[in-house]
Amino acid sequence: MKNHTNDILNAEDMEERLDQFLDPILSFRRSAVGPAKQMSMLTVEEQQFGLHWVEVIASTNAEMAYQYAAHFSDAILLLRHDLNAVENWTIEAMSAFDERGLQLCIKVLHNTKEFSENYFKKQHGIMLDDIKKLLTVFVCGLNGRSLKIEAAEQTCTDTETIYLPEVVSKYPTKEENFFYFKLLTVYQWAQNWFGTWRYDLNEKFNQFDDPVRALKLFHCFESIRLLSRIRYELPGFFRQAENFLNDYNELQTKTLLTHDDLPENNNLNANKEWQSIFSKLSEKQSRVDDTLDLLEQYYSLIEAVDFSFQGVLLVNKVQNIKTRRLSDEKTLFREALARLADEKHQANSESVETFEMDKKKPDFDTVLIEDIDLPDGATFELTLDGQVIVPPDDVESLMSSIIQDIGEIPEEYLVAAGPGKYVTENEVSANKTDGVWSGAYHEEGAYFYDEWDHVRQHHRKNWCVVREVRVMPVYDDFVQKTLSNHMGIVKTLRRNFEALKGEEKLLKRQINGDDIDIDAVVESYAELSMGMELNERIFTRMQRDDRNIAVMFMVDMSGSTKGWINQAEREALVLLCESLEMLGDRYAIYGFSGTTRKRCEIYHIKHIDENYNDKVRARISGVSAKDYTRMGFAIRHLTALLEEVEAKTKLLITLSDGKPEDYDGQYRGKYGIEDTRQSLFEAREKGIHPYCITIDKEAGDYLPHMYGAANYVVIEDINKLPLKVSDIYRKLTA
Amino acid sequence: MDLLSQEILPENYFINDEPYYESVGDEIEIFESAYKNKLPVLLKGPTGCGKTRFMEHMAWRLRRPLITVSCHDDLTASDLVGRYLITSGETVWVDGPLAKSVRSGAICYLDEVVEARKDTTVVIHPLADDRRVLPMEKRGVVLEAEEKFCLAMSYNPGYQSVLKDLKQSTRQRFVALEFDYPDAKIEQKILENEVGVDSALARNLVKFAHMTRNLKGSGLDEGASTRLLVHAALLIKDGINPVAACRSSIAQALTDDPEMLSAINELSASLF
Repeated sequence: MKNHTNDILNAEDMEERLDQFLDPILSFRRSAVGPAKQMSMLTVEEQQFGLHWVEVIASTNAEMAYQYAAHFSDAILLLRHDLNAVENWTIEAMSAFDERGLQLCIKVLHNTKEFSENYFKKQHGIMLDDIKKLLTVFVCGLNGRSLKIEAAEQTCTDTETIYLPEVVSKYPTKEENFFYFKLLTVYQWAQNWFGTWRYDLNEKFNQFDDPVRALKLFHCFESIRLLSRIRYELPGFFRQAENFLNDYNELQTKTLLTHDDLPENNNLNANKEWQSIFSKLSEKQSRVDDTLDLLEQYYSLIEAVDFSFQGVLLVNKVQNIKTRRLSDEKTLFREALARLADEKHQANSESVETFEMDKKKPDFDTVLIEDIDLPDGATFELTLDGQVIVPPDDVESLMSSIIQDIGEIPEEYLVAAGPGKYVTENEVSANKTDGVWSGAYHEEGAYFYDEWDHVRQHHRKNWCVVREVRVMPVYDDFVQKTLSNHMGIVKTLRRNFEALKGEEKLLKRQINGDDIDIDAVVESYAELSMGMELNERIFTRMQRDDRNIAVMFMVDMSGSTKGWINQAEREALVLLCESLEMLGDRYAIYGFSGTTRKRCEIYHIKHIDENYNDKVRARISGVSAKDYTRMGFAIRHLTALLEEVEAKTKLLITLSDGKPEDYDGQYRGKYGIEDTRQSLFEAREKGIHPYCITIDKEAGDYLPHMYGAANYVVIEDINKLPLKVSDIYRKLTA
Repeated sequence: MDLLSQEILPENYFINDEPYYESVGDEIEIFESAYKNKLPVLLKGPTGCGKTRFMEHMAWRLRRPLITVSCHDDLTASDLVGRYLITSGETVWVDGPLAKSVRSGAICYLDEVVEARKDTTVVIHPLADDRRVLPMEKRGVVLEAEEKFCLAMSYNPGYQSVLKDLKQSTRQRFVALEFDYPDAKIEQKILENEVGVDSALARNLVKFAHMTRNLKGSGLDEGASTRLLVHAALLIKDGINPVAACRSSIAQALTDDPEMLSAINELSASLF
């Protein structure tokens, strides 16, 4: 046997090694000779690197591994022998395979040149992904309706999202590229804030014989107007931006040239025109109406200039979204008005009878308040029966969104909605989630989580499609029965938990404290007068016991729990809730199950801030055995939820009956265990303590590896589960 | 050391120069009326919006000493009422700030009262209704409030914690005044008068404050308060570059999250 790690492999040895991995797809017409020969030219390190990945990839798909081997040497050259770059290239190819199959993966392997160009661009460029959160917060701070940031081929906005390129590498330094991103963002934001989309632009452009020309000219003029408004609104930004606006500056300087400066006299007229356009659009309060006026005036006189930063105007898309939003917001706003009117009447009326009699039609109106800082130079106050009212935050943001779209609150919006059922947003989305499997498969409204592939030592991106679904509540006497069956236990538990709660305790003989411990003082005095050293411990102190704990229970709802395990789990949950209510710790309960990575389900039983009410009890009763035990996604999702909770101590407790596994077989065994382990690492990194309670007697083989030696417990007797769970929780948090 | 020398002397707590306060509504009249009618007052509002300054202004207006207690989570009833201290072999009773105010007819202002321990409410309750008495458990006496005594406390309803909520039995004893950040024009005027910066700078600072307030709920718990704006204005007036001043006195005060920090810094860099 040769030493594989230290010697350079010649073509023959290399072929032998490749044959091992690629055997299933090799034939007498197709051998590893070619790739082996090329790879034999590489350094030891590169060879080892290549062989390692061929092996890893072959465990997923042999054809992909063959293609990889065939392209590997080229990739090494194109990526300038940078193994980090080659690893990125490898991962990208594998992700392509994961997401869209072999064809696309082969395409990635073929296009190494393109990959390497992009890769080196990214070295000084800025990726949108890296600054997406920053830009989102930035735009949110600027003003107006909050806008999302997404990547797209063309820079544009649809009035709810700003679309930006995936990467900007136009400039030599990262700082400049970052600023350019900011410029693109601010410009698109300005379209939204300064009223570019106030009117139906299609209607306006169609009045011209060439609507496309009209659109281009409009875009150009509008850009000039927006930049001037940005100059007033964000002077600091604009000062910096001037270095990035070459085409704009050029055009503007031209307008300043006089007759003598010009090489050709025939340009003079055009310059004059630009001059008057600039002066009109640079007014502090210029509006989109001014742009439209100029468009009419100069439509046939002037050619549009395309500014590099302006992106495109998606007139149709914006119009569709705007129409939808306006109708939604109208409904919501009128509902809100009805609510406000009700509240006011209720507050005014002493008794219910007068309230009913008094219920005349509420008279809403708006009053214009001048405010030169706003894009329209004014804002509106809402009045009810002649009195100014301050609407709650949600209504106020609704109002400002409507004003942003139309510039005022039209009269037909000011009619409070009558009685009737309105479908609110939540209901719509809830229906969507439930309908996934009865109708066509879609991924709308789902969460995506990465999954750890221990062979690759990398995450598979957005691998699990996770949905939060509801447990169908079952209103029966399950909870009552459980409580009466376990009456003795409940009493003990309550007592134990009560003790845990810990009232304020008075600690005596402290070095410092709130008050003087007279007994101790007297004693010290006595001791002092006897010539002994003065005892310092003469204070009393109240000790507070702040239990700032948030805990999340993750209940295995896999098929294997069917029957008595499920019964025991449900009983455990009932007793747990009773105990925790006594203690006052915040807790949430979720179930998890699923079939394949495309259908991962989290069952909501109790949110962290939900009260323990009849509905929750009915949901516990409705917990039933579902499908498989894919665990990683559930841990990641609940970690994300727990991360949002503010608490000193955060616990994630899993109730499980066995190893992680899934329908597709791949998750069974090491893959599943490693993924779960990795997800637990991620949870710990976020300050969450994971703990596992299991009834699997063989758990000793894998749980210590996943949770750590001290963070799990095996319950031998399933009947004891209900009592044990509460007991374990008590010990854990005492 | 003479422990009594540390005693609170209400006559030292008169405010002689008018503290600058910009009225935003009818809060001054309401407070005066509540004072006349011996009703305690609760000031609600986010941090740094001018609650304490309002109290100083009212104390000056009503010509009463103002004794302020900043409540913290170790503040107990005996810190307010008083305690026995031992001096030269004997125990001596020393009044706490609340007892002093009650005796001398001062205005006692409990700042951020929800931070104090729960047992403090026991001493507040009988003072805050028509009994107007302070039970001094340790001395076994009940102290009746002087005619001109007034109890005021402040509370920030923005805290979401269940633990930091004011109980109904407490809040329903008070006349409540709601405070919020003043509107842009008044806030600008406040900066001009308080710090003496020019109106353009004041306007930009207020604009920046509004930007950070837009972020409330999207990464920030609170936007920049008027107090923070005053801090920034002071630094800028002293010659610090505006962007740097906003970074140190506002952005860093609002959050520790590096991404939020850079976003807020980008916002201030856009304005100045």
